[in-house]
Formats: sequence, structure tokens, C-alpha cells
Amino acid sequence: MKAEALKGHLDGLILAIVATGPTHGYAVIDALKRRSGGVFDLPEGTVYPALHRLEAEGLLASAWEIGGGRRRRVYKLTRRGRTALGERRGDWRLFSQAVEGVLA
Amino acid sequence: MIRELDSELAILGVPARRRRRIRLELEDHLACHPDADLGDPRELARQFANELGTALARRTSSAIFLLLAPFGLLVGALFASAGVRTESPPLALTLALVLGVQLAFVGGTLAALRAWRLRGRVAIPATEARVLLRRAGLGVVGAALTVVALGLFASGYYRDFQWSLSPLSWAAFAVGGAAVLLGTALLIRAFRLLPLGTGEPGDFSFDLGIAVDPWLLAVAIAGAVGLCIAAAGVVQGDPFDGLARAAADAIACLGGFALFGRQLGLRRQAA
Repeated sequence: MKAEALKGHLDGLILAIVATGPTHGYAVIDALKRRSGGVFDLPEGTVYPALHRLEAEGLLASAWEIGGGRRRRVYKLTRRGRTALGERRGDWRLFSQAVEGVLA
Repeated sequence: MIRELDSELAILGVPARRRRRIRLELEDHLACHPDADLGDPRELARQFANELGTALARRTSSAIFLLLAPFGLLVGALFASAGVRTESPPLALTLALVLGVQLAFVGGTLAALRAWRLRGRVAIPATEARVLLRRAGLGVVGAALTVVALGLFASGYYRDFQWSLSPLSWAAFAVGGAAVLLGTALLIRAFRLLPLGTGEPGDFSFDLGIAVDPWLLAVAIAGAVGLCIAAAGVVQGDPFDGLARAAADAIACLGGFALFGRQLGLRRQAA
């Protein structure tokens, strides 16, 4: 699926993945691909600007950690991020039900 | 690829510390997956600038509003406090104080309002980011004018004025001075990294969320401000002075709207 089609949903998807536990950029992209059954196969670089922006907005927090012998930036959800994720889930349910109602 | 991305990020104004972090993250990514397609470096750099510039402009505007709010409360308390010595200070100083307070309030409030309206946007046009920062800048300039006037009062330069040598004046001066310094630093940082997108900024009707001609809104607000000042004049037992100040303030509102409306994203350029 093209990145364009995910516009407006990428933030919610990233927040949902980070909500499962602290994780680094590559693992976010990998989980996005795996959990979508390979449908969300984005150019891998595009997720990093979103991670940085979500952190700048206070929805994610990050810190350097040592993993696999390397320094890596690990992201975790903040309290505001958890609230935002809840709101996005609610919005998505409404939206998907509405689309389903029209398409079905 | 990472070297090319780094130089593109530098050209777009991404600070060195942020660039270093991006480099390290992408190096880690490539170590996990050496065949990864990170995309076109120029496109990726633009995406970073757009998203970080948007978040920074919005956060700076909200932060400056929050910095100015306690200062506004202290100045409000000063205005509300009745003193024994009521000699008027020179006209220029009075004007600086009255104008400064109003500019700080208007600029800070408009900046916070537009930042709130733009919440949730991944990327905004460069013109919209400039509007946000100009509004916040207006608030900081207004606060600076007020701080200068307060400094003269607090230091006892005009000993017959009721705010002279008052602890509350000193407190407002200190809080306002800190807000101006910090606000200026935040603005400089945000102006260095602007998003790159094209597009027109919203106008005053976008701020208020109502589809009305911005000029009508400006007239309505100028009228409401004038009415409040006139009513205050009546309460203070000097209706003619109240009316004169009401007319001056309403005209200043409309004049400001006409002169700076486009730069502050209050009205669009006439077609």
C-alpha cells in the first residue's frame, strides 16, 4: 500500500505499535509490516519523521539504550500519547463503521 | 545515502543535534536491515523539515502563550490594585504600557488559537507557520514594551505613580522579563526550521471556526471592545472620557486589522 493511502492513519498505527512496549524505529516499521500482513509496506525512511514529530508533540518519549551491542533510540508512549491513541481508536471505529455501512 | 540526507537536513535548517540523532537512528536501521530502502534522501529531508517545522511552530506558539499568561495575570493584578499615589506618568510611558499590554494579549491569544486550530496537522504550509510565529512574536514585542514600562515604575523612576516601588511591579517585571527572553529564544529557534509546503494560511474566520467575512468579525470585535470601554467609563463616573477611549480603541483595532491583517493571518489578500 502506498504511503499516500495511509495519510491520516500513520500516527495512530505508530502509537498502537509503541503502546505494546518500548521499541526502536526499525522494530516499529517491522511490526507495521508484520501486523498488517505485509499490506503496509512503506518506504522505511518515512516512519522516522513521524516518530520525531510525535515525540515533539509529546505523544512519544525516547531515550538512547544499548541493544544488540549498538546504541539505539527507543520510543515509548507518554500519558498524552495513550489518550491520543484512545481517541484515534474511537475515531477509526466510527469511520470504519460508516464506510462499511455505505459500501456493504 | 545518510551523508546526503545529513547535508540536505543541514540546508533545510535542521539543528546539528537533531541531525546527529537522525544519522544514528538510520545507521542502526541499516545495521538491522542492510538492504533497507530508506527512500530518496532529498524527499526524506523535506519530510523531516515539514513535520518537525510544523510541530515546532505549533509548540512555540502555545509555549509563548503559556509564558505570557502569568505575566498577564500579574499585570492585571497591578491594574486592579488601588494605590494612594495616583499621579499620572508621562504620556509616552502610559501609551507604551497600554499598547504593550494589548499587543501581548492579542498576539499571544491569536497564536494559541491558531496553534489549537492546526492541532493534529502533520504538515502545514510555510506561510501558515510564519503566521503562527508572527502572532507569537507580536505577543513577545507587546510584552517587551510592557516590561520596559514596568521597569521604570518598579524602580521608582516615577515616584508619584501608584505602582512605584511596589513588590507586585517587581514581580511582574521579573516574570515578564523572563517570558520575553525565553520567548525570543524560542522564536529564533522556530524561525530557523520552517516547513516547506505551499498554500495559503487561514484567516480570522478559520481561527473562530465560523464562516463569516473576516472584516465583519473585525468590526464586531472592535465594536464590542469599544462598548466595554465606554461602559467602564460610565462605571468610573466619566462617560465622556470612556467614549473617547472607546472610539480610540475601536479605531486602533480596525487600523491594526487593515494594516497587519494579512501578515497575521487575519484576512486574505484581496482577489
